[in-house]
Amino acid sequence: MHDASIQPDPSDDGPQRAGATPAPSASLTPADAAALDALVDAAFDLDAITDQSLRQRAARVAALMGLADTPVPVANRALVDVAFLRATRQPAGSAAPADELPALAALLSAGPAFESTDRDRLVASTLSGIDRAIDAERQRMRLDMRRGKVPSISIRDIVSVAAVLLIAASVVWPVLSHMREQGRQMACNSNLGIASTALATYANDYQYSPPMVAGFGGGTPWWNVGQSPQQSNSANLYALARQDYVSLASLACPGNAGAPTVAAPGQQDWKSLEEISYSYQIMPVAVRITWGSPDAVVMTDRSPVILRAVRREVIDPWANSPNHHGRGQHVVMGDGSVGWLSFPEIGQGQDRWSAAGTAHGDNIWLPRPIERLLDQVTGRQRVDLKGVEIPESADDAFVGP
Amino acid sequence: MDQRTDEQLFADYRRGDTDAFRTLIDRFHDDLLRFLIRLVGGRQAAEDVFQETFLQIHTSGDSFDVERRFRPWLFTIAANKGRDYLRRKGRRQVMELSAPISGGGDGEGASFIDLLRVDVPPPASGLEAGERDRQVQEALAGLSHPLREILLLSYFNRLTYAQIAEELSIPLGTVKSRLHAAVASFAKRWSEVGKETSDGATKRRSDGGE
Repeated sequence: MHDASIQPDPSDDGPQRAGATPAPSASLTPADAAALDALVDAAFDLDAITDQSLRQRAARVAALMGLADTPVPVANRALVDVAFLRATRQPAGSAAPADELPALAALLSAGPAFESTDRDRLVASTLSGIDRAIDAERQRMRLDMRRGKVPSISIRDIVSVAAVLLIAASVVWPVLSHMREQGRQMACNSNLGIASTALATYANDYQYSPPMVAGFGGGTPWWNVGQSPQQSNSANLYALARQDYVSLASLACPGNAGAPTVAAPGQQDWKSLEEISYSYQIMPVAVRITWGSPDAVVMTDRSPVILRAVRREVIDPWANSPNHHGRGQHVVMGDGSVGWLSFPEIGQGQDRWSAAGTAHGDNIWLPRPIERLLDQVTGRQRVDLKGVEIPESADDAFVGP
Repeated sequence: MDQRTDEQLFADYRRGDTDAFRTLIDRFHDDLLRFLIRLVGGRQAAEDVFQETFLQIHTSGDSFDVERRFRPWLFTIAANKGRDYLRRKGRRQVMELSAPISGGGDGEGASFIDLLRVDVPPPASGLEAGERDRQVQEALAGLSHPLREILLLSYFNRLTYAQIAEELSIPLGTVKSRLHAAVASFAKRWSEVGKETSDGATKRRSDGGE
């Protein structure tokens, strides 16, 4: 059997189950059922049904089913060869007499409704997709052919090959590890793309608000991850997974080996700070951000600051996320866009990704009051982050666990 | 027009005639796209699935049994790709059902629907194309995926029960009962959608104080 079989599972309603109201149960009358059977057994060739009354009913059934084939309208439709379509749709000689089946005939001759430029575009893009697949296949075949060639081998050959391989490995290894890191970065980028879509869907369901379930306010701690969901900012982000807007695996960065990918039932938050892969805008009750605000930071790669602050270690406010070996971090903005910052400062508007080091740069790991304090600090003064600070306003980027 | 059959074209493609494949894609563009729009419920999604389908056709060309017909194979692969797509889309699938489904089936068992009493207007009946398209899509959206799939696959391919059973590897009895249910549910939904629309129009008119 070829691989195009359809699983015979009548209970599998697929994704429709949750989204659509199921159709009410209905049955055909025995006469209609017989007409449908006759129609299908005749491969939809009405002429092949000899019984006159059966054929009339079958024509009704065909007309009804033909509704599914009504043209999908698009603007400026340009008709293409109707006769060609009829010929390909109907077996030769099976066209039903038009006067007998006006509804069916009208439906079938309604013609295509796809604009010819659209048609060319889809055919071209399908072909180019296939071209790429062919190229990949050729490449593989070339490699296979090389592999297939087995020369006679002497010890000297083996030694020299081994030496070459050693040298090659020493050259290739850093390249490979760089590629691996790039792969991780891409995986994170894709994770955040998924999260961004989930956030949008969530916001759509909850009056344009990204998840804000923890409900802490000024003065209440928000970094008690895994202890109390009311005191944990990450419980906000976790709500996305808990309410099935996204899988927990999509909130796990490949660079974080400790990140869980499957949610335990009833779980409301990650169990510890170490399990968290992505940081989320600190979302106290008083300073709520609206999904759709282009300048609001909603989510980033994990903050390097919080983990150290909790452990009472010295923090570097200008360090990059540990997710990508300190090379930079992804940021999800309130308009759903995902970008890469090689320095943890975000700008506004057009300067969004290029404000690092300028007066407009807003450090994403810290609230503005602390940033201002840092500007004034000279020498070895100490500025504390206590885990109760909140963003100064909705446009103050400040992410937490 | 290319006189070669679909199967000949595909065989030629596998022998290296790339233009044959273009002809095939072109030949099936309208039918397959229309089928997919109805199956997955949107033009953009249908185009994505369309491309995936032909890519699959290309990659699993070797598994195609030359004794079989090309068209049902293509549509079956498209149906599978459509199903994958809907699964990927997961529970976020949003179906537009503008009004609750009234009557029938609620605790009173299955109701019979007489197709002679279902109104199937011809395209020129004054119902606007866009409106008609929306109604068809809405009626189809009320069907579960397997029912929608079998309704579309059988109609678009003009297959007999035995052929459907063979193409889909489903027992003949299941094909039959599933198609019966599909046609009945579609007819019921179609007449309800039509009624909702005309009721809505009447209501709007009376609300407007005409």
